[in-house]
Amino acid sequence: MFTLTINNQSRQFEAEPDMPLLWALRDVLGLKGTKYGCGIAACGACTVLIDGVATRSCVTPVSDVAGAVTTIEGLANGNALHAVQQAWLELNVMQCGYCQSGQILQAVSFLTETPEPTPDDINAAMDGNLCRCGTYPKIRAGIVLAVEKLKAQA
Amino acid sequence: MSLARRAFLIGSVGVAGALVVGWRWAAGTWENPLSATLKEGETSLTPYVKISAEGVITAIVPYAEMGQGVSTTLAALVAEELNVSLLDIKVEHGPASGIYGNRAIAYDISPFTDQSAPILNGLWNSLAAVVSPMVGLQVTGSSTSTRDAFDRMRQAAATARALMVEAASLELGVASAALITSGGRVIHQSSGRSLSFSELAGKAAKLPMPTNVKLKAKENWVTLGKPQIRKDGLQKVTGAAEFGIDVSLPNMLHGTVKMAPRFGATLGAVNDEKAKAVKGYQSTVRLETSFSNGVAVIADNTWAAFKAAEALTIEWLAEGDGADEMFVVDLLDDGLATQSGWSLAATGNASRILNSSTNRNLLTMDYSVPTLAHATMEPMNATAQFIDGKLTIWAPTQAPSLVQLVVGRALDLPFNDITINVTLLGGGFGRRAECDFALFAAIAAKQTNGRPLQLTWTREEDFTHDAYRPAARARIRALPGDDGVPEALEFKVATPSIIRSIASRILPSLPVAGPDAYLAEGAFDVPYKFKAYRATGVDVPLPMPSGFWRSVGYSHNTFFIESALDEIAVRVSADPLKQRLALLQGNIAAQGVLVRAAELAGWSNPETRHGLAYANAYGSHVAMIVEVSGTVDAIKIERMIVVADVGIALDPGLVADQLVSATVMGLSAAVGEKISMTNGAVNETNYDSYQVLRISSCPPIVTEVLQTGISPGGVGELATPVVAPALANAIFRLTGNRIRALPFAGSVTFL
Repeated sequence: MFTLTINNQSRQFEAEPDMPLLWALRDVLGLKGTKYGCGIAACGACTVLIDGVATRSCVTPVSDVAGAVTTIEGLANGNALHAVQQAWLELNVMQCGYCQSGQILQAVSFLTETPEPTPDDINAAMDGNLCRCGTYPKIRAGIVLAVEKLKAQA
Repeated sequence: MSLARRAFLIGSVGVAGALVVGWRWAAGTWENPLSATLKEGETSLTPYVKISAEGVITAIVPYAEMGQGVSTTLAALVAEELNVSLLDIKVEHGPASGIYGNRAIAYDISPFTDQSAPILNGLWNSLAAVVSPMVGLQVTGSSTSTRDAFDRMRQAAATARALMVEAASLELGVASAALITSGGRVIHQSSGRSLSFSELAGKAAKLPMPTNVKLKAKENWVTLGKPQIRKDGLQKVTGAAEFGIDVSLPNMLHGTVKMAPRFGATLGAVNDEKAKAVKGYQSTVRLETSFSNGVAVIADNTWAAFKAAEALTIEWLAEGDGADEMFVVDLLDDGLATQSGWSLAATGNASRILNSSTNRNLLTMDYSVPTLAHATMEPMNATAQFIDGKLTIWAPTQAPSLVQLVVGRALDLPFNDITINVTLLGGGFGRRAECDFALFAAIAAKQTNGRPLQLTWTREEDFTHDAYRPAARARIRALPGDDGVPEALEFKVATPSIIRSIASRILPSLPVAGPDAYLAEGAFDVPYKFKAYRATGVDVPLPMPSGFWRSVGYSHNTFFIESALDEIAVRVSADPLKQRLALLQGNIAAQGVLVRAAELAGWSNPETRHGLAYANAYGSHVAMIVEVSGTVDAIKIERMIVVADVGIALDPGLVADQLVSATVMGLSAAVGEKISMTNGAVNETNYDSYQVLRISSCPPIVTEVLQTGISPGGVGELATPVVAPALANAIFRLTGNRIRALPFAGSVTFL
């Protein structure tokens, strides 16, 4: 039995200790927004926040999770989207959208650490997140717009 | 073909008072598939529009949303003709039905540009002729969705609007000419009286079909032609979007597949003794199909299924011939050298001119591309439930009607007993036109006593059991003329026929014969006015399955042709831009994209290192110019300029997004993608070994969308083919190295 804080709620569930957080979220807890892409931390589709830090849930056993988990479903504050989500929506960043949960959470984690990123910072921070639709130019633009939005909120 | 002939409506009154509108085309007639699915108070006036008692308007977009924005653009067609805001329209995929068959794919267009020349499309015709009357070709691919829907969906919405205007005319006792529609109401302007669509829909459904519905003129469009916010945007930034892998049903079992590690191998004994030690493991089901052979592993959750699959002991039989990379290369080269192939285009006598020439500028160029994987971000998956002899499938599929056909034949079920629910697709690129993932789920779901079963492939299974973009090798001979226009050009490519490969999987008993135009697509159909030209395709069967990969034949043949033209220009010190313009004399749209791209790139500046390529595909034109800097050991792609003429851009924003998307995929393939084999098994099993382009390697991409046509051309695949040749030509300008084999990472190093 595990007890984890997920999207500000305490959740108790049964799982094998070696089950990656990804599959506990998806198959046990029914949170389908976190995606399976590769299973080896090579694509970033499974990215969640643990205590605010982007983490690849596909290689993180549930038994190793020590902090509070935020998934894409828990990023918005009620109906108020996070600045990164809002920027993504306004710029039509997404295409198929499968990688975007991971892209958005990676960007959120990155902007928390680096509120005024350079273009090189953006490339370095987002390089672990693959997008087969090639939305990279719009991901860059989305992050730049999110920076403005976050500044306006501050 | 006129609009009236392409799609005419026949009306009859069906169940629950809803009007059932059949849509007759080609060989089949289908009833409105929505009439069986309508909820209380819902009305469907045509197969593309539903109106609820509360006035909610739903557009049926029967194409796969795989990122291209089809659910937004096609809903906009309906919004425009109904005079409502796109924001007020809901989008549903709708049921699988022959009524939604994609005529653009089945009959109308490239690669079979000339329907009067059956020799070009014999193989496809023989397949389409069998499949189409049975299930209709409801397929999303070949950049056809918008082209196929442009008339059909506008006419469907205009018909619904006309019916409601007529109903309001009767209700209000005024002439229909005095009525307008706005914001979901029919309004009598002079009296101010109005009725809502929801009030009118039921009555409209009982009226006779209008025979002459007028579509809105382009200059009156308020939604079409302008960039829209995607209809699927909000759900995709909040995690609410439901892809195939996200389908969740009560009491659902999870599973995965373990397929033969080598192409052609069959399944022997399966021992699951060790798998039984995995908590949650349930059972193993044998999968012996025309696609591949292996097992489905069923468990309580996906992770348990993955672990159990690893724990199985499986005996594989008839393991094939141990093919490796050189085996493939040798087969293709042998085909190129010894087979005459299918001559798919011939002007003048190129061979005679080339064979008799003693000109020292005579060129012989050998080009090649490797096998490629699709590598969609969402791995293959499907969900199936089998209850009382009826099967329901939830699948991210580009081809629901083919799934019905294949599953129906494999399980001996009538098509009517198979319901296909199409989810969002986490990338398609042609991979999801295959039926294997849905078939495997259906076969395994027969063994779960009515419990729904979701099969999710591991990434490793996905990479090693793709229907690959086949390897191809070409030999091009040319005699350059002055100004770079060739006096004679001979093109010959060896690659497997994709249609033959697909036919062997979906209809193994069907004898298919004849040429496959995809072999030389991008070569036989170039719009260049060559003096003497021959394009030949040789069909060389390979051990691995071949499938549609974004831009299909263009993905290799455009690289070959556009690089070769550059070599020809270089040989006689001609300007490749002027050479193309000369070859495209009188083709205003083609010259237009080239000239505009050259302007944007500063082509005439001798200081910059540029490469150029052009293509005419899917009814659109595209020119690309790539600018590079650095050295052979450290090449920097400064920027990529892509200019497309798409005829009409129904959503210029989404068109530009597709140009960028197709450019990035083309760049990814050109720079680093390659599938290789050792002893009959694929070596690249995940994203660590198969190099998909990452954000740090993505250069700035400049797009411009021109619109000089009268109908929308295809855009989803358009820009992919021109990337590799434009980059190769740029690298030559920079380094003097002529790269004739992809991927480039084997020859040069990129920053």
